[in-house]
Amino acid sequence: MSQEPVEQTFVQGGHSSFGYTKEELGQKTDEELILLFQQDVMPAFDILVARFKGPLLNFIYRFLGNYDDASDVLQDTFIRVYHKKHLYKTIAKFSTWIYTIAGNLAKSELRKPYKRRSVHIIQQSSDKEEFEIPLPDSEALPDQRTDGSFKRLRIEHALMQIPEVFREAVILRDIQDLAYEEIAEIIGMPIGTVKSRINRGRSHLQKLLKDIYD
Amino acid sequence: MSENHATLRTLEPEEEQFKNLIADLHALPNAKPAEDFDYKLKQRIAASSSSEKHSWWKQFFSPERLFPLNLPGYVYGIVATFGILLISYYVFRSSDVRRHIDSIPRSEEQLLQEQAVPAKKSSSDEQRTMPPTGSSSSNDVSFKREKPSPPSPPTERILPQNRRVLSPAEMEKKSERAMKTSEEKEFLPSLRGIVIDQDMRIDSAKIKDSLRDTLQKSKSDAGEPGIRNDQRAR
Repeated sequence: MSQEPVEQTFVQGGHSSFGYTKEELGQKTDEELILLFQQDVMPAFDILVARFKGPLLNFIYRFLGNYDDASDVLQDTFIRVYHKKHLYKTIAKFSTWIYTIAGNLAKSELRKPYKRRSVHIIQQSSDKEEFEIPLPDSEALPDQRTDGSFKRLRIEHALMQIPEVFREAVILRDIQDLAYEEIAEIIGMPIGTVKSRINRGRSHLQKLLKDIYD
Repeated sequence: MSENHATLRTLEPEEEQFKNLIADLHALPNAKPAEDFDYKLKQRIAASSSSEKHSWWKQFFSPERLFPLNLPGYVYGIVATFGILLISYYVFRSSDVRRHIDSIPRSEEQLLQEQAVPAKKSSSDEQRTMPPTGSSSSNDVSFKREKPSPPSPPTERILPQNRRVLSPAEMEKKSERAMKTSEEKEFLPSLRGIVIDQDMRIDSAKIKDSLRDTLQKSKSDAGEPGIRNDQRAR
């Protein structure tokens, strides 16, 4: 995980009562931070939240297709980490552990009976309601920008239509840019299965978007 | 939300056919958490912590309550094992398990007692029950079949309805007696040399005399050996 600057954490002031400054904690690895948090160094948790909230939210949002649900699941993920910190063992990477928690919670969210909304994004946009995803601020012309938005919406829609197992693998590989080994650990499957799922997911997407990619 | 500005990684050979798709997926805008995400998270953590504190179940079984002393884990394990053994001992003593186990030597004793009954017969009775050897000896009085004696009335110990629970002291005496009886049974017959039945001890000298008498009698009845019947008739 990249060492992102700590934007807004629960660490107040320059020096914490645990003998670590905010800067010192910011330079530590994820695994070192969770070990410190296991020793009740609370600011370490704040740093972990700051590092992982963006990538995790992106992963959950792409998986669920709903921003509010994704935010709730992300909060649940961090609450789970907060209360179950003692369950983390150093044999695994912290990012793998937290992605696994987030993935499991996201799958549980999808299985809730009132959460079966596979085309949520398209529905929202077609109903002309407020759509919270801001368009990328590019230099393209307005018609090109519209084409780009349309293509993006089509891809997002297609992503929500492929089976969960393929969607999860494709998101982790092609959107989150994780290595096959890490994805295999998160999903709990052999690397061969992961590669197969990713390829099958891509094939599904290409079929759904054949008017774009033909 | 912000655009995904990260550059696309180097594609592997099997990914080349999906090059455009991968590039588009990679270019999807990243979702960005709301401004008040940390504040809400902090509130939810505080709420979940307080609700967890109020949970009587977790409060009752909290490690601080169960293990108040700062001792290593194995100490609690040893104490728990000792406690379980102590409780098991008292339960064992006060329950039917002990009585059931006590009844096992008693039944063995009953068995020994039953085996001891034929051993108490007199030596003359033992001789009479010997199977006849050689030729038929219908004249021999000693091998006359006796009327079967009526079975001896069962003792108090054998009948289950009359079984009474013995005190530990009585039990000990009985078991010692039973042990002595079994030792006698085991060793005495082997010392005397002849064992016909498990519980039957026979005086070898008496048997020898009896056999000799029987043989002489049969010789005198049948005549000299080696002489045929037709020769004898002539």
